[in-house]
Amino acid sequence: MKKILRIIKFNFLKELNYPYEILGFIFRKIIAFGFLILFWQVLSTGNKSVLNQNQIISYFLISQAVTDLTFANDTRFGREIQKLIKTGQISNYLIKPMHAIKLLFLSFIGEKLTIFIYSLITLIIGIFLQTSTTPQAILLFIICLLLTTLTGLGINIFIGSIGFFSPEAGSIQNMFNHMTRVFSGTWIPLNLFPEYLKNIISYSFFPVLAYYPTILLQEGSFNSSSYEILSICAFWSLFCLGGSLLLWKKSLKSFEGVGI
Amino acid sequence: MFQDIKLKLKIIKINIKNTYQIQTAYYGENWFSLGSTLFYTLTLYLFITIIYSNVKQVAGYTRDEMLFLLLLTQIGYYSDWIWSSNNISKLMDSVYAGELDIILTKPIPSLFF
Repeated sequence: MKKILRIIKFNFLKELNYPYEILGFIFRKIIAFGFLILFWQVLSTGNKSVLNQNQIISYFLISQAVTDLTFANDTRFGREIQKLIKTGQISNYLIKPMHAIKLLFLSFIGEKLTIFIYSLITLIIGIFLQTSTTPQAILLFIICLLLTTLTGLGINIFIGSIGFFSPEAGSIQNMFNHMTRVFSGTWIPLNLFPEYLKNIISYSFFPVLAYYPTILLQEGSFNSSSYEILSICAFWSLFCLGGSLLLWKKSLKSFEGVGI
Repeated sequence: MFQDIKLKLKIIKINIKNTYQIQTAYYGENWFSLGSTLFYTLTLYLFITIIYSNVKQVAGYTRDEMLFLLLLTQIGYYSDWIWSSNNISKLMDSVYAGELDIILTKPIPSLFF
């Protein structure tokens, strides 16, 4: 545990050396969020029967926080792995006396700790705006958030592992990110999708990344619908993480790194 | 003055050729990159379609008008990317990697290059 905290602390301090970079990032997030809210406010002004302003602001605050807290946003961790593979720097991590994925992920958490803090603040504001949050919903949300983190980690490792096989991994990652923005519910809540599309997507891993945790926090209670959501999340977390770790292991066997 | 224009045209020609060679060096990367761009546009199209399956108008704009606006923004975005934002990003990268020094020592207008 001490070692884990030291890795996170070391990388966090490294990141703190660039305070303007952090400020720039937060500023960018606020601007992007502001425009998203502006769009939905314009939409809800003319269509009050479809959308409630407070609910929609709360939804986006929570869903954005979820994708940042679980590192599922833009698969940044996967991109970091790809870069390390492409430049050959992955060898430095493979020779360390720790599982490479564990070390890389802890370093990544340390580097993104400021994003983590920012996301926690937006999450609290989102919960505050959503006045009807119950203790049951919070409990379900925490369980779902853990499963989302595992799913997000699995997807990131998968995206990163593609770098072992193809230099085109960057574009594949971009395509995946474009799909995720719509289908995970970070741009548009899944309940606004046409019924046929909603039925198909609801069983995929996309809503696990943002929509399901958000909806559990907003409307969750101990009923069959919530259990069904948790089952889907559990399935995808096992499938994504298990599958991607197997792929990572297989990739390493065929990897001929410099210095190994 | 004419020599200056001639030099700048030559720089543009060389840069276009150089960029094209870099882009097509990795055949798959080039096609996947195009695919990614196409996917981005499709995602926006899907986003608009989903929005308009719930509402008839957004701020007075119908679905067709919104799709036309999407076309205009795409043209604007890619024009900006080709002529401006891509170069700014490259300039920042070259400062960070220390490659700008080499450009500064060349006998050409460095900012234009």
